[in-house]
Amino acid sequence: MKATVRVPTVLRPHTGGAAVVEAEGVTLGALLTDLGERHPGITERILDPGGGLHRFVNVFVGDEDVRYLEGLDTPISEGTEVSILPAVAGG
Amino acid sequence: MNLSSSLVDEMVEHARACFPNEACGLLVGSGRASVVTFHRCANVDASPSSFTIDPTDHYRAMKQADGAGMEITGVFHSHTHSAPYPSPTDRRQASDPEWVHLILGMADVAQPELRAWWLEDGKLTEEPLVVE
Repeated sequence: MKATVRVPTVLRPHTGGAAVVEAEGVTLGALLTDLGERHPGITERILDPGGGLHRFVNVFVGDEDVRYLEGLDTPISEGTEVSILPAVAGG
Repeated sequence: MNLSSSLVDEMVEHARACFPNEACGLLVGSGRASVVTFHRCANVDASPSSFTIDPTDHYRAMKQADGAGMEITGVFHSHTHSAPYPSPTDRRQASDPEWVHLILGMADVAQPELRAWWLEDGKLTEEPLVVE
């Protein structure tokens, strides 16, 4: 399934500066793998070394935070928008 | 950067409502250091010494900015007991070098102090702030 992926500023060096790119996959995990093949280095910024979502990254499929869906197993529908957002924190 | 007094009032009101915990929010505008609207966000840490913006609030702010042809241009948070100077945590966790960081110092609750900063690659620069 083809989806549009919104990329935050900090990850745009991996997409040639593009804020929105395309990727394909039947699940979020598969889509992120495809995204990494199209834009080398980006997946390592989204996933932790154990293969889970990095704690400083939030991913939305449509309007939903995937942590409240099925995480990396969340299904991707054709034309879905996937948004990658950096966690915003401080002290 | 220029900031309308009504936006500053919104930030101060939000910080007072969240006190003694830190308040946080996102700034939306068009271009570097532009702030047209302020989005109050929930601090999921609910802490007097740290903040994490609720991811869903972040997503909603981004979508509203998109719908208005704008973008998120910065982040706001309060320091409940210290000066509005970026803490080591602020500097370590700054997520976007193109965002301006507005910090409201609440050490004197009656007269909070707002200052603006850039946090780029560990380098700290103050942005002159003009409230109109």
